[in-house]
Amino acid sequence: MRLELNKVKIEDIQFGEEMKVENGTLYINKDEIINTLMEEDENITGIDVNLARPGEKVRIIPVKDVIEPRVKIEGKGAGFPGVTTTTQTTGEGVVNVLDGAAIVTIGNQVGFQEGVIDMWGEGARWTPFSKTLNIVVDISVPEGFSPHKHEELVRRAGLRASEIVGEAAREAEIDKTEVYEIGNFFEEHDKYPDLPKIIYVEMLISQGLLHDGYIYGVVSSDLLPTLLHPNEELDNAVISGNCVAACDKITTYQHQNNSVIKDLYELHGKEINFLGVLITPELTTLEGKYRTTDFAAKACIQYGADGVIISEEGYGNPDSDLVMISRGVEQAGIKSVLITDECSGWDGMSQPLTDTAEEAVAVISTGNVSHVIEVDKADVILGNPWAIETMSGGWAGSYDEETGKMKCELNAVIGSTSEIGYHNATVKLY
Amino acid sequence: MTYLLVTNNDEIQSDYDIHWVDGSFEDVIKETHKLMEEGHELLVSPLPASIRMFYSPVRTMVLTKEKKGPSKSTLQLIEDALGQYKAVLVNKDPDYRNLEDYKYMDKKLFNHAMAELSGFNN
Repeated sequence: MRLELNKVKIEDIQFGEEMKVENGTLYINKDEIINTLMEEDENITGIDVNLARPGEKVRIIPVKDVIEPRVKIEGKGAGFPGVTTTTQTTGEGVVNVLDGAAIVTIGNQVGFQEGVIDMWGEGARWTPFSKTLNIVVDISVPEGFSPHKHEELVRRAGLRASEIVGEAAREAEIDKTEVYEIGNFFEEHDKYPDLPKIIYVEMLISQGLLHDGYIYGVVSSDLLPTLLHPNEELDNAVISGNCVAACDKITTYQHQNNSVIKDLYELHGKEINFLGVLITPELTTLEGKYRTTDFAAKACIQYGADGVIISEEGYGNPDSDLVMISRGVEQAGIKSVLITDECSGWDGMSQPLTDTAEEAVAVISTGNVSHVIEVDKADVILGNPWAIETMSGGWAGSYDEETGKMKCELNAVIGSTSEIGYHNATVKLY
Repeated sequence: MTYLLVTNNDEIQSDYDIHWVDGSFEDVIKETHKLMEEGHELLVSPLPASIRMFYSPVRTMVLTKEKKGPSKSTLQLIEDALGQYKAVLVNKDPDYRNLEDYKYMDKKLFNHAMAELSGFNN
């Protein structure tokens, strides 16, 4: 499969009469977004669209999803196949990308939802989306609408908003092109017979409402571990239905730009032979966990992997899946590297994961979710200001009414401890 | 297989036996542990999958009604769960402000777990 991502560099966003890119500025026709979405879904009672740029004292809360606006100009599998468009395999063709812009959907499906993007100050340091030019879409639904339907509606509308805005890239000037090309197993082995074969096991939360992921529109809990060509994820096959775990949920934007996939691509043909992405659901029941982790390990063995990189989504019971997969492959002689965040307490000294395995020794930490930061009062809040109380955790002394300063843990900041490494934190080796 | 539900969530309704816990999430873990020591086997993860759900005041666990267990590994799982739960909460209380939403979510996640269980041949 060969995928070309044409990057249209966006330096600014402004509202305008027409959806277009001119001299690096993305002009957004607000009415087009609102009218199109409302025509497509009669359950939407209102939409507000606002812009948030890096450096502005704007707080976006609670964030549901972040999506990169793009348009496929050549090849099959346009849009989000199986969700907004007819199911077709993605991963091939040419896609124009509004590079630097993001659609951010906001709003509570349930009261305790969290996830903040601060566009300035200390909070901005910890989220990758303080650097994107954000088109913030707030969708209203009828009173009494179930959280289930609400989540589905906002999920779909956010993806559609990214397609509507993405059209501005169709005729825009391209700044650079990234090419992603990997053939089948035999072709790549013939080219690189001596390079170690690597599979990326990407775990997804798959435990129900607000805790789901989707592959070609199929909820991840319905799947056994499934091998994807890396291009499929880079080309809209995987979307987020995860509305909890702000710090480490994989937003749709992060799926579209999965750092692990991109880094493995960099090394492909040089240091490794990148076989593919094994999407692996994190189920709730113990029997489900044994099934999926066993199957994932078996798949890695069957595909002939020499090494496996395993990333997690979430914290708590998925830690067991993570270490079980590691144990399964290591016992078969395959090396494993785990990528996960930690919940190590305010002092960083508590046990980082809820489960362990003696085989799971090569671990990349993406940060401590309990790390406390102090953020300033925002000039503008896009979303629900009451969500800030949830974010601050409700512990004594977390909020200073006089100054408006607030303490919160990193677990409330979108993407702060991204377990696929799409974030700002780095690792220091001592 | 028949199930025994352990819960402090009054929104949970089921044809299966419900062992009601008049207490907190922590008490549900402790009660589950006690029932496991009597021989019931744990079928679901005792801990949630996201930090936010750790703050839920309510929790529902699913055990086997039959007393044929538990295994060493599940007993270890529930023994570790209490300490891990407390380690996440640390200085914070469960989020009672959003109790109704947590009850709803716990019920939805429980339903999802039951759907998963029904997919296995038992």
